[in-house]
Amino acid sequence: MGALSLCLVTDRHATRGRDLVAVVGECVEAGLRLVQVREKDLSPAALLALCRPIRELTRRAGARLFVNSNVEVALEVGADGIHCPHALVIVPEDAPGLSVAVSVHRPEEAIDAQKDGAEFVVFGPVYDTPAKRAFGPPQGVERLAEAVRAVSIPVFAIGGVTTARVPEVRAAGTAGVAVISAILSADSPALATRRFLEALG
Amino acid sequence: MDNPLVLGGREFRSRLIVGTGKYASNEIMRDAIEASGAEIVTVAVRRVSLPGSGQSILDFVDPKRYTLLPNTAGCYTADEAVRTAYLAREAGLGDLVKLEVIGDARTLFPDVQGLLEATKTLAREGFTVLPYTNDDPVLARRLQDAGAAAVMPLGAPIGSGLGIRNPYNIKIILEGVTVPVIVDAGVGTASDAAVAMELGCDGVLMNTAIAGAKDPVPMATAMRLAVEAGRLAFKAGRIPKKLYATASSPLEGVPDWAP
Amino acid sequence: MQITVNGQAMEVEDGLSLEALLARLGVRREFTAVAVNREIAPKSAYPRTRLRDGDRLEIVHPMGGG
Repeated sequence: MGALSLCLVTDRHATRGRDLVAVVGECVEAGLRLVQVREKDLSPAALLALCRPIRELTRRAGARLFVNSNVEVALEVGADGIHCPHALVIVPEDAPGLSVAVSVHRPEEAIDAQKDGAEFVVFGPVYDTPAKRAFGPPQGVERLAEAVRAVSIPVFAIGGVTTARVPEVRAAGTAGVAVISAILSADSPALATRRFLEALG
Repeated sequence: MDNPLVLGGREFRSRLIVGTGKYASNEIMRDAIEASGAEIVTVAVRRVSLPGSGQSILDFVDPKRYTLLPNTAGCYTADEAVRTAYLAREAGLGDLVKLEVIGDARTLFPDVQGLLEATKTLAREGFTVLPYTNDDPVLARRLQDAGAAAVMPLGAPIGSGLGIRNPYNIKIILEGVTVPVIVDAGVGTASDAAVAMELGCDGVLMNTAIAGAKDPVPMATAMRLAVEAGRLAFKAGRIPKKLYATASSPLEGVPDWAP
Repeated sequence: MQITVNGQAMEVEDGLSLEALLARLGVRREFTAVAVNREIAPKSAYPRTRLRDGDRLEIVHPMGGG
């Protein structure tokens, strides 16, 4: 079994007051190779301003950058891809030169995403997580495994994933894990990144 | 000169917040809001009637003049309330939100669990959350801890006009939290608003009391005066309550009328 | 394909963008927002958001309320 991938999804409200770009920089230095800039509440201009330095530091380390929903910003900074929710999917032809990753909550949505040309999907929330508690109970590992079986593109697990849970999601067949606060809110995001990479390796 | 009401880092002179619902006409609504002196005005988020662009309430409530406070009225779960808040923000209505998560259709009392959950989620995401809550001081503390920018305990059920049913709880809430306390719901007439302010509340929010009055525009004026009067009285420091009389006129020097 | 807009069923052409639908419905840009299948559609993404069969849209704006 090969190593699983690690994706950091950003949330500038989850850094416990630290500068997001600096924290992402620390994680990339610690070995992170895939970043998704989410920040759904930023204006396009502010999103662009945030993505520029993140593109710089990811580019230098050979890490991939996905930008949430805004194709113009993704193209402007030279991102590797665009990430969108299943409900608002963007098809590759509308995102020229960019890969498309899709967030899904059900196996059926993963199938749709593959049909729509997604490179990979992010399935969740697998476990209980404060950020998603308001939206209902988590999907669970069984559903994650169903989603993995339903498609041939990589499926990442998101939502309450910790290093302790990696064996379980690995057994479900995921290609990787996506995390937010497990890294961003940690005392040392760099150390948390290294711990994840060890567990996933 | 009173210090301002501070919500989400913004300062407001008026401590009266008014709603825009249930008015007989948009013109009366506009005039009543003007008479109330309110700077913050609540709105609901509802489906556009299609096809397209009919009249908008914002043709009568100038968003450049008033601070809009979108509410999540009609939401019974945290999920619904959070999504409604997102919609309101995307619609350009700002990031202040009057958070309602309703637990019961007849009383419109809040669903406490849902309210706390939604407060946490929205506060994390940068909203200035003003939760409509009940008069439980423990819940008020929890809401503050969850990141609420103020707490808004009801005086009585929405639209009931029963006034401040439990002033003692409101006082305890005032002692227990550091964020502004704004009585929201239940005000029936001017004295209710004055009572809320005399207790030490930082503001009062009302809709039906003005919109449903026989004559909303003078009632709006009355409410403005009541909030100001109650605030002045609170700051001036009332006399204590006593069971027996203490004469106001001196006891010495009373003329002797005995024959 | 069939979509639902504010509770009403509608027949529209495949691959219609959200931008085009809103223009067709005469929806004002200012002070309105759209959710597609419960997800808020960012305004900047309207032109590239393609609707699909079965999508449920909510188009909202502020109205009177307390």
